[in-house]
Amino acid sequence: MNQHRTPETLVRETLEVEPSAADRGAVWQSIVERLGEGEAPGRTPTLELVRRHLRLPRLAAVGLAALAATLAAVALLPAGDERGGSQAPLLATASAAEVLNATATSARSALPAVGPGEYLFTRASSAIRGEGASTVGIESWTATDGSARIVERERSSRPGRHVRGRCVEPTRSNRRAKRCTRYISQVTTTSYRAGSDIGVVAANGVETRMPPPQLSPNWRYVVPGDDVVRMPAERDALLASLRARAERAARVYQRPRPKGYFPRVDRTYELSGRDLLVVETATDLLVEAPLSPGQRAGMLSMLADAPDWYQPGASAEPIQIRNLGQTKDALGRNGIALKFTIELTSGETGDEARGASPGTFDLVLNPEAGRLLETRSYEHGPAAEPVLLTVVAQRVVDSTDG
Amino acid sequence: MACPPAPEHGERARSDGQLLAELDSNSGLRVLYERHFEHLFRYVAARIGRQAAEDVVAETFVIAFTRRSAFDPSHACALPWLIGIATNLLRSRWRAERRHLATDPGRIERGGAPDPALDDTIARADAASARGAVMRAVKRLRPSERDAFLVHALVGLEGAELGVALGVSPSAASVRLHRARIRLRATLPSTLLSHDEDRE
Repeated sequence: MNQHRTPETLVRETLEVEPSAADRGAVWQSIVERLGEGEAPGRTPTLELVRRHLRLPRLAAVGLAALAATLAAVALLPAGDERGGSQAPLLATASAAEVLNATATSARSALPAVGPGEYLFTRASSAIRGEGASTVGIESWTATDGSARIVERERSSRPGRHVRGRCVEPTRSNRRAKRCTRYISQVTTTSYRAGSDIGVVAANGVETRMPPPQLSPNWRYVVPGDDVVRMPAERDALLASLRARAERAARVYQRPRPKGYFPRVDRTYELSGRDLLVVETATDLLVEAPLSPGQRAGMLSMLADAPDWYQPGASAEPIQIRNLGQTKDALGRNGIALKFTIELTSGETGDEARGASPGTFDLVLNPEAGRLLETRSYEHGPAAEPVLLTVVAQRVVDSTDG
Repeated sequence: MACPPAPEHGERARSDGQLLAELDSNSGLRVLYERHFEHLFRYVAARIGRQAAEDVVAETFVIAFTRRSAFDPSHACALPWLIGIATNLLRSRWRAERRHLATDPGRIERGGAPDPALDDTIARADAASARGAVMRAVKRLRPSERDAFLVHALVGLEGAELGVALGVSPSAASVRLHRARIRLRATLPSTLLSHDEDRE
C-alpha cells in the first residue's frame, strides 16, 4: 500500500466494497417484495396485516414485553375478569344481543370518563399464528383532545431463519433454513398531536408523517381523535353519527391506489356494505378510544341491534351475530365469544382472492365487567387461525410515562 | 459529484426529479435504482458490511418510493437525498457499524480482483495493519462528523449536496467535514498520510 494518502483515499481503500451482480439482483428482489406487500416506512408486512384487519392505528407486539404485559394485566384487571363473572354460565346460552346488552349495562360503571389532561391507557397483545407468526405488544395513551402515543413492540414468535447470511423473519418459504438463535423484533412509536389525524411514526431511526391513507384505515380516519367526545351516547344518534363519518371515510379509502399496489381499488365496503366500516370502527373505538361510559354502553347496544340496521352491500348476505358460548381468551380469562359474520356472495377484493371473509370476526366479552377482552379476525378464511388482539389492561392515567 | 448523467433518450433520459414526480410503477423505480444502486451500496456496505447493506439499501429505495413527494424537485440528482435516507437508517444500526469497524481488517470481504501488489505476505500484513489504523480512526470520529466524512469520501458529495445528504446547511456540512479531517490527521499514523494534504 502506498504510504502517502489523504484520509479520504485511505478510507476508500480500507472500507470500500465492490457490489456484485448478485448484490444488485438480491436488493432489487427485496425492494419488489416489500413494495408488493404494501410495506410503508417503519412497517413490517405482519404489522400491516394486523392493522388492516383490526384497524387499530399502530398495533404492536411482544417477546419479553408480552410476558411483562401479561404479568401487569393480572395486577391491573379487576378480580371479576379472572373469574369470568357469575352471569357467564347464564349468558353462555343467551342470544348474542342479550350478551351485548348485558355488557353495555356493566360498561356504564366499568371505566371512568377520561378528563382533561388524562389519557386512556390500553395495553394489548396481538398474536399472528402460522406462516410469518409473530406477536405484537401495544401500549397506547389516548386523550380526548386527540393527542396520543402508541408504542408497538413486534417480535416473531419463532426464531428467525438464516437466509444468505442474515437472520430474517420465519416464513413458509424459508422454513427449511437453519434457525437463528434470536427472534426478529421491531419497535415503532406513533404520535398524534391534539386535533391532528396525521400520525408521526418513528421506526428504524426514521420519522415519517402518515396522513389518513388509503392503505390502512383505522378509527382515527373515521372519527378524528378530538371528535370522539362530541359523539352522542344514545344508540340511534350514535349510529347516525358513525354512518355519516364512515360514508366520508369510505369514499377516501376506495380511491384507486398507485400502480404496483394490490388491489388497485379495494371494494370491500362496496361489496360488504358501508355499514361494515361502522361495525369495524365501533369495535376499534371500544378497544382504544377514550369513550365516556355512556358512549361505550351506546356502542355496545348499537352492535347488539346490528342485524336490524346493517345494510349489506352489493355482494353480501345480511350480518349474523352468533353466541359461541363460554371461551377463554389468550390470557386464559373466561368470556363469552360472539361471532360476527358478513358473508360475501361473490368476491372481488384482494382479501377474498386469498379465501378470506372480510366481515368475519369474533368478539370475546366479559359481560359482568363490561369489558371487551379480545377480538379474533379471520383474515385467511373462517377455518384458518385468526389474528388475535387481546386487551390486557385498560385504565385512565394522567401521563404517558407508564 | 457522483450523480450519473441521464441518457439523452427514452424513459431513462428523465431526470431523477421527473422520475420521482411521476413514479407510479416499478419501471420508473428500476431506472432510479439502476442509476444509484452502485453508489448507495458502496457507501452502506463500507459502513456496515456487505450482508447488512442489502437490507439497508432495499429499505432506502422503499422509503424513497413511499415518500417520493418529499423529494425537492429543484434538485436534479436524487443521490444526496437517497444517501440521507440511508444515513438515517444507518444511525439505527450503529451497533452493526461499530462491529464492522472493529472487525479484523484482514477478514473484510471487499470483492473485486485481488491486488497483485499484495501477493507478498509482508505487504499483506502491512496493509492489514494500515487498515486497522484507519478503521480505528474512523470509529473514534463523532457520529455527525463520521457521517459527513464518509459521505464525502465514499460518495464524493460536498457543499450543498453534502448538506442535503446530512439534512443540514452546506456550511454546517463543511464544518463537520473539516473537523473530521482534523481529527483524522491527529489520529491516523503520520506515515500513512500525504505530506501535502493540507493544500486540499
